[in-house]
Amino acid sequence: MQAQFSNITISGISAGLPKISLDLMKLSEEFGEHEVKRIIANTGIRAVRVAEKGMQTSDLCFAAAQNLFEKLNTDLKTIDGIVFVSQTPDRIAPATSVLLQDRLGLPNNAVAFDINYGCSGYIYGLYQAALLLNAGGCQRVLVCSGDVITPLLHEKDRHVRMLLGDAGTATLVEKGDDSWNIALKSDGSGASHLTAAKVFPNSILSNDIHDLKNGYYHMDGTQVMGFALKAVPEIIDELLHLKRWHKSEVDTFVLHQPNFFMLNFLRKKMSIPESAVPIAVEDVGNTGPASIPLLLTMKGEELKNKQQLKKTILCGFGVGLSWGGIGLDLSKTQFFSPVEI
Amino acid sequence: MTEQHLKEIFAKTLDLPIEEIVDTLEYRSMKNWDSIGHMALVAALDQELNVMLDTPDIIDMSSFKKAKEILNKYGVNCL
Repeated sequence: MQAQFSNITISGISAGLPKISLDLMKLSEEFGEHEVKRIIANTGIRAVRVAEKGMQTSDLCFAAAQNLFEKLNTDLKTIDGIVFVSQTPDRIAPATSVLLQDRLGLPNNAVAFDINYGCSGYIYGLYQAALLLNAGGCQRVLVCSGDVITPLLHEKDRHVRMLLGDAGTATLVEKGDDSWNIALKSDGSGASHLTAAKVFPNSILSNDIHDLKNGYYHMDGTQVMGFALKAVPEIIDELLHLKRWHKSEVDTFVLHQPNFFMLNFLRKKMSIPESAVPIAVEDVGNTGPASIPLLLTMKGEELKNKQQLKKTILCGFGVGLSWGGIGLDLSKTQFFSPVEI
Repeated sequence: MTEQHLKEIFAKTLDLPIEEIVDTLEYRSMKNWDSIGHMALVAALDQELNVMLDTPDIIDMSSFKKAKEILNKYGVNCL
């Protein structure tokens, strides 16, 4: 799927992180010091953020949105859309977006809905916001994306415990002078490579619940790596074609942040210079649908000062399998450092 | 390129004694050759041999023997 949207912009991005930072070396007792060092050396992740018991994804997104509205001095009455993207909504029902609408004090005439996606989710959220704005129903849409994934990680599964962390983000999308090109793709045949397969009691899958690890998050790292190394270069080429940009013209490629190795390998495979692919995994790990906006809150101002956001490509990829990207201009966007709760 | 050189790459990347790098060494047969070790191997083959494996080959590289066969396709003969 390809789409183009005009008269649109991202005004600001903010993030919320749990205060608790898990230094991965502290897992040496459980997994062995040598093993922990080996994994850190290959992933570039030294710590992940962990939500305290009871903290939900909406709490992190709420903190991010509050900070965003305060810094942008936003009149809450003008927000008429809210999109929440997560693999870990607060509840099965109602939608977490509705809970956020009320908690943030957004007007009742705001349309609110959830999208269930992980690492590609930010692109889906922006696409949905663009549709709401483009259809004329909304003027300003808040996109919240994030996960509290750590409760879904099996304590003995070192591969996910040493990679995945919790975070929430908030992005304000509104009418503006930018033009976006978006491409999105899906391949459900790879669903089992990344899954938290807790199923409803009457699901045909429910007999296999024990085989599916009873809801713990499962990742087949090799399959995911194979998928990403094929899908990401292809969709970036597609976006370059849609934007009529040459690869060398692009200021920055903001990719989903799985780990240092994969990002570096993708960069080399696409022959992109190191300076054009920022990485921010060391202290937060892979934060799923929050990783792209979280990186921008950590490095966006610096990139903006270096005039490296005029021609930007965002690209998310992961659970589904699903992947997508946007070519846009972030040079006028305001980025606010993550708040800790 | 010799088989010995490839064994050295595997031994260094997977942090294993070189004697353990044999044809029957298989992906996931030990802790060090897990998905993260596999990722490191793919990077090492690129860095040391200038071979960037295609996706099907990354997934197909399930043993040391298979790695030799795959590399042969890329013009690296260590069979």
